[in-house]
Amino acid sequence: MLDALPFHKLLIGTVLISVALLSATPLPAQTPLASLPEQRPDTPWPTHGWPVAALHDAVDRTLIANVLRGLFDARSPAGLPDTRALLVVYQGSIVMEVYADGFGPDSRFFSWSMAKSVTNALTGILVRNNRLQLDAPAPVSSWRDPLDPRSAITLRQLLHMTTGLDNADGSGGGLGFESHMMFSPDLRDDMAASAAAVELIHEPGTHWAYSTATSTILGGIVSRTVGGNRAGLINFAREELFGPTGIDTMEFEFDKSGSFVGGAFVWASARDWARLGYLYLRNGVWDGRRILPEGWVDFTRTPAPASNNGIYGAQFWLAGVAAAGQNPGIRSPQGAFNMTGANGQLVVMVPAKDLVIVRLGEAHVEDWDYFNALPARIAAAFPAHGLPEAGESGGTPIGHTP
Amino acid sequence: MTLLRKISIGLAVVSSAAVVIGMVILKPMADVGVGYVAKQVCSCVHVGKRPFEQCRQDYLQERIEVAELTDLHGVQATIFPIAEASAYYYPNAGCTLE
Repeated sequence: MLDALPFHKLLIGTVLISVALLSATPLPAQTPLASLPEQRPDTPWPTHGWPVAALHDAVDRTLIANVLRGLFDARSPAGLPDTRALLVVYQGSIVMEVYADGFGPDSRFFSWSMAKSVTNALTGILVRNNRLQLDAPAPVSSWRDPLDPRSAITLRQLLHMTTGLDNADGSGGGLGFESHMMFSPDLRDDMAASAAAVELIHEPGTHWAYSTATSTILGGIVSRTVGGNRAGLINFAREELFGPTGIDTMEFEFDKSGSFVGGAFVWASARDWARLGYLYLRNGVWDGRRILPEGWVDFTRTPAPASNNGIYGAQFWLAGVAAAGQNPGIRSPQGAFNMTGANGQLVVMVPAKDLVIVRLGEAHVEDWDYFNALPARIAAAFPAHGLPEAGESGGTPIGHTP
Repeated sequence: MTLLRKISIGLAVVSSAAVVIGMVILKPMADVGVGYVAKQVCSCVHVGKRPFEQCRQDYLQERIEVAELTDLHGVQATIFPIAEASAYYYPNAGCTLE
């Protein structure tokens, strides 16, 4: 009766970009991390509005025109556009910001799995505040028994998705563990508890598996650490993340227990998604204030140490060589790291070019080749960071009315 | 008992068994489906601030009916008669299935 339900829409970003790994192969030698660009002295921080600039002459406008051509053509059967926002920040200024009809700078867009990267930020802040310890056993009540092998799982392994827990996306039959966790009446009321109530199938720290449930366990830890209810997390985020960075549209969603659904449920405007990406591009420091701990961004963009992983860091995806059986996902420029979510949500940081690329919307047409190639196509148009001077300050970005 | 009557009873038993087995297998999927639609349409309307009909179109699933619970700031999704879910908006805290 229900076999025609296109639930793959729900699963695309989580299952397809995270197909379970079937075989282990030696990883290529790890390349050094790209250096993160510093804020240009002539460009204000985007706390109270993003600076805007015209495209610099050194940018290849033909390539940009090719990206923009047909950008909003892919549509659902009801006529809704797939791509709804495309925003590019170059050297600290918005140089491109285009929206489909009916959407604009104030529109909020759904994260799907980009929420995992938000969870990384909240966790990082709590580590900086010494309220969580990266290498201590993760504070999960159902794992406290020292005879329980899950008691050895650390916060670091949760962030790396190397817990060894039997809750990977797509596992468990049916529509996959993550779908049942988020939407089934048996599991959804306390998602973090449901996610934690599974057995180990690998020794912690040895095997990578993409898992929305794991990020949801992290969301539960963060929630409990700051009060265990909606207001506690919202106030914490406002004080520690939103206020300092000027993020003012981000809204978290919670399960019935009041725990943040850290694997999938966050909304924000395109400009605020860009702000979050920009915080990471600037090494976790915002206008002189350290938001994320020293070294956190490098930890985040270093591949998780498992023999079956090459392109996943700590709740962020990385450019690089995927391990055998690992879905390569989007084709990022070298040194890039990114947040990705189902249906083509992308926030891509390209340190070598001082770029943040944001694409938001849906994927009714599901042209994955298009989505996977989009960041590299845009980045190719921009020169390496440091070559040109900043674009004309106050000039008109693409998509803005002169 | 005539042969025709035996065949009729046999068909009824087989049909009933098929319905029961189908329900056991499909019910969990139906629950996920209505939960997904109720939650996402609720969030789209109340957090995304988009019109209900547009949100319904974005998360449309076959055989799932969706209704806006305007006074309750919620959305209900139903696959009659086997599954139903409702999600409600909490100010500044998105939608939650309840």
